[in-house]
Amino acid sequence: MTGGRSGLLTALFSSFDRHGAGRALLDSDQQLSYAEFNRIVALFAGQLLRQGIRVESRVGLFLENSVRYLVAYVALIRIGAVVVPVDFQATERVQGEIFADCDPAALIVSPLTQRRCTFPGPQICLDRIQTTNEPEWSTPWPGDEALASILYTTGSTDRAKGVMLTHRNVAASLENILSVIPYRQTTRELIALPLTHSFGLNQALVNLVSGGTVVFVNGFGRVGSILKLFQTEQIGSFPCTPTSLRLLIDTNRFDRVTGSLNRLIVNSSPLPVELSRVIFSKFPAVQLFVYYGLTEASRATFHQLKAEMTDLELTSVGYPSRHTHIAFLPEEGIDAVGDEGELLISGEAVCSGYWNDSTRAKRDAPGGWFRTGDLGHRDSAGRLFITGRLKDQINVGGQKVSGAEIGRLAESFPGVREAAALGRADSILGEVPILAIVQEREIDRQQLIDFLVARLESYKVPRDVVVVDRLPRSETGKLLRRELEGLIGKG
Amino acid sequence: MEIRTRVLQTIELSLRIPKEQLSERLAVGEHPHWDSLGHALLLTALEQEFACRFDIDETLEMETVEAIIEILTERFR
Repeated sequence: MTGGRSGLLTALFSSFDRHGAGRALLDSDQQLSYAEFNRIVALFAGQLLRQGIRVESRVGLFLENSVRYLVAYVALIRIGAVVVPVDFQATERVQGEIFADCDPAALIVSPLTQRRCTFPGPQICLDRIQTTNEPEWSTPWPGDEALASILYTTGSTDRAKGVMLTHRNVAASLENILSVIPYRQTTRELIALPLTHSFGLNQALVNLVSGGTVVFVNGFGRVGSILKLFQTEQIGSFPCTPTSLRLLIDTNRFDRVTGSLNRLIVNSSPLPVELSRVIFSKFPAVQLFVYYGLTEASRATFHQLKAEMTDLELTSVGYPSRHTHIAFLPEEGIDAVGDEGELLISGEAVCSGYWNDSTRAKRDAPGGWFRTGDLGHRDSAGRLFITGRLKDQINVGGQKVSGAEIGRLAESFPGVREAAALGRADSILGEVPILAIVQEREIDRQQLIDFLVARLESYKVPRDVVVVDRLPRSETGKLLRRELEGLIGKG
Repeated sequence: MEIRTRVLQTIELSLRIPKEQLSERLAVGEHPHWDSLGHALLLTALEQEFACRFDIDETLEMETVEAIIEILTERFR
């Protein structure tokens, strides 16, 4: 390790040296060995420097899941720049909010994403990566406290907020994974998860520090490609969401092509017990892991689920990770019984704050803990159970949606006096948004839906619009969500 | 109406992808509205439009506009 080089970069680049000839990454266009990846990262880093990208420059990444995504990510953090992933599904409005908030020096795009890009500043199109020799360059290695990325998340607000992650935060998250799940040079992991989220990105990075092979697919919609790759690439490890796993199992082809599968890592929304039992029955040799984490505190707990566990045990998200401590803040107005209340997290993986928002401290609970907004408790064995949510958030197949964002947009539709979005249980997606509105006058619900479709990402569009006489609110004007759920339920 | 036109119209209506953004090379995951959930909606819309039921192997192949047109053309040859 040299000077102040971050542990993350040390782990990555020493792995590139150790695993030179091993296959690092492949997608539908290309595959790279570790040595080739290392060389192309260096070439692209040099190109970025020549194009004026410097230490602490924020650079947007607007790319599909691909080898080039990882090339750009590693090149940027190598030169001390800050990666700002922009989700492929982001609407023009969300893209605009992100660009206005963090003012990127440039945006890296591909031929595919360039068509949808609204960034007014310099764009760097990363097509097939050029491998011609370029001038030598040198720049100091960033240290552990350097900012590696700003991940925008909707969270419980109607505006995207930028979670700031340092090199140390990312390294701690990878160490959390490695302390529970073995990654080896022989690991072959298929990643269809979006690389703009910490689940997908950290899975790719943990393979890179371990010498494994990552196979990228551009989303879970490509069921046919996923099934083919399981067979042709002999995939052993598969991180996924409960929704995508269920879709794959429902094809009745999944168990025929997964002879090499030895590990499933499931996250983003709770894994239903019934689905766990299906996995144990169809794939008895597969290790099943779930974990709990947020963008702000990645991989906070892990749990390996086993067939002999009770149904209750299968709903636990497990034990705190190596670099993580958890505690509970009693919910206001409710007497705490044992370890129960709002889940608090501290540790090296907890983010360093939110970009451009000094009013929202990273650790806003007494004693320097991060407030998750999730309710939970621990059992006598120390296992964590998530039991509810304080945040106004809907989990649509793993995509976190702000009810406030949908509600506020609906209120801008002529004839809607008030609106609020809630989650309704869904057998496939876990939850889907539904919208409750108070009308000023009779409105056409289909026109309202069309209005929302034109302005929201598809997964945020409400599946139902329910007209109510009033939205129940507290004396201070706060929406009483449970009461509204009751009202809608009765309706 | 020819199959290609009907497929493009169905995609345009069910996924709400503007005509000018549609091409035969477009694939699942390459447009924000054509994600895994949108894909399931599209398959249902295509089955309604063509009054047919896709078998599992057909649905697994239907990852691009071009593949959808080919499979339906083969079916109604």
